[in-house]
Amino acid sequence: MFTKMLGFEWRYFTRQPSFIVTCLVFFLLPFLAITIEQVQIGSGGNVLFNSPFAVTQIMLILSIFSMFMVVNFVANTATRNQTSMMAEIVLTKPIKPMPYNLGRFFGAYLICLVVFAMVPLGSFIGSLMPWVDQERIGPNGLMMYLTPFVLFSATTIFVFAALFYAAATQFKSAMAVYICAMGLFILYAVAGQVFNEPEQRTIRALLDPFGLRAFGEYSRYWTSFEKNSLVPVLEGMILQNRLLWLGIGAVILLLAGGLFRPLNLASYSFKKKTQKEKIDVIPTTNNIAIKASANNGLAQFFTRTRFEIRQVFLSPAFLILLLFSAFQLIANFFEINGMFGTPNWPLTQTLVELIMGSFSLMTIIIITYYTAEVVWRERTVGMGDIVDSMPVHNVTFWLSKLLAVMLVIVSLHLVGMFAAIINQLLAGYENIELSQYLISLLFFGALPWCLLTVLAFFIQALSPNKYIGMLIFVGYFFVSLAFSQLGIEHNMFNFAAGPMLQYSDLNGYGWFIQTQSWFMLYWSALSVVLGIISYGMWQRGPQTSVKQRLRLLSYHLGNTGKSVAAAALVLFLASGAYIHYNTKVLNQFYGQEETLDLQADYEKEYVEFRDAPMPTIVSVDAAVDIFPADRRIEATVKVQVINRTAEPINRFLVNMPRFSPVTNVEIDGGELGEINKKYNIAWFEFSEPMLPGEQRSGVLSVVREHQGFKNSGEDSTVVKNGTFIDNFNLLPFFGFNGSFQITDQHERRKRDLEPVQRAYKLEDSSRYNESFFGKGVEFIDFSATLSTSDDQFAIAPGYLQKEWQQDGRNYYRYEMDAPMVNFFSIMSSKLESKKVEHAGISIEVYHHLNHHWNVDRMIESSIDSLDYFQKVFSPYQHKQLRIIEFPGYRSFAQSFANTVPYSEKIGFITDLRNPEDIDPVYYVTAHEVAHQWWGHQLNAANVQGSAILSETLSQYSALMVMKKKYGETRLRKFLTYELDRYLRGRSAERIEEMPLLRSENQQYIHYQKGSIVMMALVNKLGEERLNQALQALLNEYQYREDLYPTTLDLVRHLNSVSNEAEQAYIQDLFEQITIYDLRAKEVVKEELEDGKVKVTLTVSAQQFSADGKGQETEQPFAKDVEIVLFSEDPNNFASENKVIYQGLHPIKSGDSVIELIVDEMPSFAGIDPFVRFIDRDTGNNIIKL
Amino acid sequence: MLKIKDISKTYDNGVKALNNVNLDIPKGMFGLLGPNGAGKSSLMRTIATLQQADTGSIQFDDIDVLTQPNELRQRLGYLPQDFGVYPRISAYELLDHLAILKGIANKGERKEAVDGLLAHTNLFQHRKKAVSGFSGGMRQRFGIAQALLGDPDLLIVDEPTAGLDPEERNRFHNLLVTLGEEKVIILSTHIVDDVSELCPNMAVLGNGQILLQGNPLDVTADLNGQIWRKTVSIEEAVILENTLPVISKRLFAGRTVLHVLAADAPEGFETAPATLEDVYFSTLHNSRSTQTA
Repeated sequence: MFTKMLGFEWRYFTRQPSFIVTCLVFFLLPFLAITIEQVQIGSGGNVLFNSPFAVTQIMLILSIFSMFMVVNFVANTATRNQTSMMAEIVLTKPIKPMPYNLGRFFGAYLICLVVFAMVPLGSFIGSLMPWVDQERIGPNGLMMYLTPFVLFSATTIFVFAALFYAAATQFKSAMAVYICAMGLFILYAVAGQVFNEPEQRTIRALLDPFGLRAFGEYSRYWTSFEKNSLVPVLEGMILQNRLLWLGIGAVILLLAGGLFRPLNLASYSFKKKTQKEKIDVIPTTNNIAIKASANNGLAQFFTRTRFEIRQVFLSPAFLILLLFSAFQLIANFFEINGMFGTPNWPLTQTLVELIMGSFSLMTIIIITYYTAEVVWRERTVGMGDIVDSMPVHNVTFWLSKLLAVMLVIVSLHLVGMFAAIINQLLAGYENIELSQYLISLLFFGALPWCLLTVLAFFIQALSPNKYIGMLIFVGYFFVSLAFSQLGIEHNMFNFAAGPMLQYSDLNGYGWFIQTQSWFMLYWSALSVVLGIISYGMWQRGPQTSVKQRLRLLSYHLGNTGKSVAAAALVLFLASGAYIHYNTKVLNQFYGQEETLDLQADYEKEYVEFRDAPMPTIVSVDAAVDIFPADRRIEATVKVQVINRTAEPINRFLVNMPRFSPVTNVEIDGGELGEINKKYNIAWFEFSEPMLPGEQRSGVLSVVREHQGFKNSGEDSTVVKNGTFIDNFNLLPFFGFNGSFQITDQHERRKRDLEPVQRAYKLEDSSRYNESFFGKGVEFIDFSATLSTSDDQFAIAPGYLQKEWQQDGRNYYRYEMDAPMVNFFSIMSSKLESKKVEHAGISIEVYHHLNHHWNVDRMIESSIDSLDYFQKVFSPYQHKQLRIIEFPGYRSFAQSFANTVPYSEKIGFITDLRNPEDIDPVYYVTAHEVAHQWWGHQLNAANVQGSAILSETLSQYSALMVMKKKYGETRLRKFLTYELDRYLRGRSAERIEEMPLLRSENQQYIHYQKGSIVMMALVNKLGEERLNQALQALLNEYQYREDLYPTTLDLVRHLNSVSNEAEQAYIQDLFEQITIYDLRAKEVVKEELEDGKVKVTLTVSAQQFSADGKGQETEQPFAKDVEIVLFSEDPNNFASENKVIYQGLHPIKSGDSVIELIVDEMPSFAGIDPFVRFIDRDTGNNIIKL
Repeated sequence: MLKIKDISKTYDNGVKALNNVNLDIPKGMFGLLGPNGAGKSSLMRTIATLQQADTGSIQFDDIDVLTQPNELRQRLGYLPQDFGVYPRISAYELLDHLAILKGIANKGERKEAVDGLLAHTNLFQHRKKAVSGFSGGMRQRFGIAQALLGDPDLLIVDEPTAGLDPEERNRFHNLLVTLGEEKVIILSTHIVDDVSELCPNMAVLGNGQILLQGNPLDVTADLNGQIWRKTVSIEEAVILENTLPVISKRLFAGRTVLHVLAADAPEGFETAPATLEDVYFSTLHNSRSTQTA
């Protein structure tokens, strides 16, 4: 019986077209992922296309899609008896339930396995294709395909098959199984949202039925070397996850798979109370020969629409769908994550983004499912012949059905809106911006989906049956996701697409309403055409071929249809032409490849002038007029330039700023040549060469303005409220622009470029007189006169000397009293402000009216930072410190001289009410204040490690201020985050990881590793000695323009305050990439007679040294490691935690046993709990007693 | 009234459903007889605008059915051979909904018609129950009711009495007759009695072709004196079937009654009055023998 049933399923499915089609899909997806460079899953950088990691990742990601394949096959098997009306025939046969059900189950499972086996097959065959870059293909081995297939795919599919088979057997309906699958998927998504703290990773990994997160944890910190060589092994997290889910699957199959219950018919006994009704007269005498009247299309349309809406909205599936969506959304709201796991306030713009983000997959499912359901409703229920023969025009059917589906989409978004508003009110956030919700959710969110629905209807109208229609639509949708990777990047070629909305509380919708309106007009016009064809070709009757329907197209359209279609077509073309004119004629549009080619050409043409002599600006007096409403800036900048080189300058390159139709450079004794339009670059030619040491004056003039609208890449620096632009973007830039070079090694190789040198060698002393801002960026004397509209104020570095009004505009004169780096910001906005005087320094915070929560915290952090840095480093060079909020199009804070622009996306909106959370506002502010020293007082030479001197030292300074305020235990959580980000950063390294000393502008090194290293160092040397060394470094190089420090100088100063052992430690930290693995393995406590407690702790230690590609070799470990006993869980900040014991213990490789006798009963023990080591897993450092 | 000319239809799978069908159907009841798979439903659907023919034309009054489907639908009532219904909708609501689609816009008129039709089909007391929960016969009556909505000029009913108990069948027949002779009613069936009871005109369809057309009385009269009957055992029947043109055999009280079509009486056979059933079977018999010949 078992084998017969299994064989039957096999034969049944292998003959179904759906089997062939799904096989093809699951073959093609990985095949394309391997062979098309732009759509890589899991590979990239140094990670090979067919690396074991990438192959595993492809299988895991596609296993999410496989869920729907499994649903299809298994639900089909389990409900086939019902759907094909065979139940009564089959179930009356003498069949034993166990072999019958098991046979069917394993038959369907086998089919699913075969389909999914196409994935490794597709990957493998893809890796053999001759057009794939052979340098990025590694050796193929059987095990690297087989192991992940068996470990992950085969088990995952078994679990799904078991769950779905059970669900289908229990509920006897395919719909129930789809809901079950969707529920599982949402559970997966929700679990990811809820358990997102680092210490919850284990539970998150366990709860994932796909094993994706388990593998993610398993390979969390894999370097490229490991990704290229390691095949997952059934151990640890993977083993636990697989056992758990196999168990769940097996138990559910046994309990609910109908294996033991005798086969019987489904009993649909929905008992309804039937009300008995007295009927006095049966109206048999009624006139039944009432003639139909013609021309009642409108009545039919309203009836039909009401009917369709009722059908959709009253179906149980819809209610379940709404519940799921709301649930998924609420899980997202649960914690709106900001930096370091601290939540943000639930701003309307954030919630809108969340709603749109979490609904996108749901909406596509809705469109696919409901369109098919609604278009084919009459055919499915069997009323097709009756309804189709009614005198109803096609347009009535089409439009009423379309409206019903659109209403589902709209109501889904409205449900999202209500859930969001409730969430805001519950969170104590009372600024409910209803109009923003409606505009964003309906015009930017729902409308494109509605247009996509028109397309789905069009496909279904022409499709021979609903499944083919669904398949084509889903296929189209997934291909459209990859459009931009395939070179189709302009929104004009991606149905219903428009620029991605970015809302800012400061700048509102900015330009987005205009662009969205044009694109929506364009796509709506096309949708009307598609819609008219859809109803013209509407299928009436059981089967009418497209060819036959085409014959009646003209008849069904009539003159109205034809003229509306023609008008819509004209509108489509006209609006298309207008969009084309705006995005490609008035503005430039480059695709990714085009941009890369341009970058490559630029480099090839001009790289030889990288070190050509050019003048350096030493004095700036800027006159900048900002016209916010027009988004225009007119700048005239008087400069003093000097020839710092040893040779005369005959000519130099000038890169023109973007969006600036008028740009000019005038310097005495020379003239700007013709602008090369391709690169927007020109030569400035001196008729009288500029001699070494010679100083000349000149004027840079720019008009930056905008015409029409763009497809993407709008200028977010000059906006209606919140203009923020720096001099590198605003003014012409001298010399070869190295930041325009391609950095990706593979893109470079494709264009015959040598690998890029990310930084000059540390030992290259010829660069020691160039600052890390780049060649020719030095300290300057600065003054500026700004003007802006009468409702805004304008800020530049320096002190406000004068403020006046003229011609209805506000004018400001700023002058800087101390030399500052030639890196300045120009800002103009309308904001609230708060000002505080502290020790002769004016601290000012400018913020949006509604973003008032953390202003005091910023001021507090500024005061604490200024106090500490002035005490331990040097006096603050300015008398003022200003923090200014700017629109969230960019999310960073940046330190200019006495001026810190701070994005609305970070800090201002952080919700600091929970004292357990890390305080990122305090931290970021302190970091930016520290830059006034590290970066503005102390510059760095333009060689490897330059960012260590600015960023790492700023991190250190900020962390010291943090530690003073929040204590060491809380810092632990921060450092745990930093360590995790460092380890993930190195795992994503695309070229080569450098040691700290030689960091090549690698953020994960100079921020994250820097934090850990500096905190370890301060623990080793003590605060006083370390600050002494930094102060000495600062004293030596403060404001120098002739010679800039390097990391070698930093290490020199550190060594000067250290003994020999400490120097070795410093060398290890700065020059090696060392990874440790410290664990607390076992702990035993014993109460002694004298009331003391004896704690026996077993720990283990390992040390690895890694090369730049991540290949690790184990080293002997012998170091003093901190062992700490806590009274409470150190991860729980709310509790009053006490350190009962803290001491250094010599630990060697392997296991060590430590015995401690303490007075109090501890409840947690930890090895290196304060993260002094780069520990690859901090989760196992703490153990509960 | 309804002129069907040279209609042919071949399905994608190669089945030739209709082969050059020509029919001229006057007002009144018209019976279309044929065995399963003869093409009856294909022809019905084609007339009911639900299917396009490969060739030929259909004219109803002044409407070209194949190119003006919407105009025909204004005057059409159609009961398909089998159909389902929307779930969770009561008989009254569904019929009311269909009445609006049919074009009965006036609320009062619609209520009168819907109530009346439910009463005529004996469904009035069930009007608040969901049609999806109806038994087969009740559902069939509902189908009849909806086909009669809007007093159609052309009524096409495909196997209308299938599943009806004798009482309901009679009720339906009476209803059809009272609908008057002012409309074209095409009744497709494989039950010969339906036709002989109701239809002044009929046709027999076999293998997509019209095998016979005419008035039931005339065509029956044509066979008078050529039908012979004998009651035999089952074994004898097998032997006789091989030697004689047996057009039908049926069981009566455990023995087989054979009907033979012949000019003269075969040995042992007695004469029998020709019935429409004999006409039907002999037509099919002839068609089969010409095909095999």
